[in-house]
Amino acid sequence: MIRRSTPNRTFARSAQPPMNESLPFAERVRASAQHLQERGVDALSALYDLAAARLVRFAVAITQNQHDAEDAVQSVLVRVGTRPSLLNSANCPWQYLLGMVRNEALAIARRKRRYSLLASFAEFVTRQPPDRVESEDQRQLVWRALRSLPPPQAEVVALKVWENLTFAQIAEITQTSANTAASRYRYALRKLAGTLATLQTEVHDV
Amino acid sequence: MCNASNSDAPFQEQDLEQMIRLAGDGVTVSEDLRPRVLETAQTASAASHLKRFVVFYSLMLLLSYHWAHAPEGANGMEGAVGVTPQQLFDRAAQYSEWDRDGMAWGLVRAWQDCRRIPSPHDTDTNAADF
Repeated sequence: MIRRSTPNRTFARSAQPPMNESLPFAERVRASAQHLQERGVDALSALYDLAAARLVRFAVAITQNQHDAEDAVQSVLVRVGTRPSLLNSANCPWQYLLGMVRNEALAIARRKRRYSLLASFAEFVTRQPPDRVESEDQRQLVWRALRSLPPPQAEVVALKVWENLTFAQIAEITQTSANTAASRYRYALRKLAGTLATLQTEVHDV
Repeated sequence: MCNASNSDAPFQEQDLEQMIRLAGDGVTVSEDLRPRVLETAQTASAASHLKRFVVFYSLMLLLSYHWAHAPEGANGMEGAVGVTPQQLFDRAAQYSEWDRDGMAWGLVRAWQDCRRIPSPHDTDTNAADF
């Protein structure tokens, strides 16, 4: 499960839109975007609670760094909060939001070129609940393998596996063709399989 | 796909996707991100409102100043063509007298003079012509 951040007292959940939990995630984002348009920046907390964790997860796949990913998400959400029409007028607000985060994350990654793997791994490890410690080794290996992917492949994997998007939807976000997205995904999985096998061998040897 | 057809492959595609899915579930967000985002958005929104307020009222002030300092009864015409209505009517009267076409045509010709773009030979303003 994705752990969400603890709500801050200063920004209590006072501006939640009437949300049907059974709605698909994309529809909930659309409702939240409409609410943001109607209520202004005060309603940003609802969108944050709904989407921030998933946006950060996607951004991490691109920036390969938690801090940069959070910076990217913060920058995008602030922009959306001050100009809600950006999101509300989009055909698919969730995909539009992912696209915004992708662009911001790529810009930050290009600007900083900061890939401090060990520091980032430590963050992930220390934030895991105690009952998940046994699966932590596996998770670390997968993350190390993911970070070995070039960002164009990593983002396709993130959107396909974590967001369950089709290749056509991924192509819209990454501004490529569906065939390119599909081939990047295949290459990425093949590479991940090889990297994971190597990493597991290394771990066992140690 | 990745190596589903290869029996020696270390991972099947479904297994790999499941491992990636689980790894993604482990990503957490810093606890300070929420207040940081909301505070920054509130500040940015307030700054944006302030900027719009300042621009709007600066324009209003500028226009008010302009209107307040415009000469009474000029109707802005002298600003556009450099002549007063009285000068225009005087010129129209001259034309109507010279050409004997009546005041209406005189006014038309006077107005055309007002709107005339000064030529290189005519360096003076329209007001000077009048």
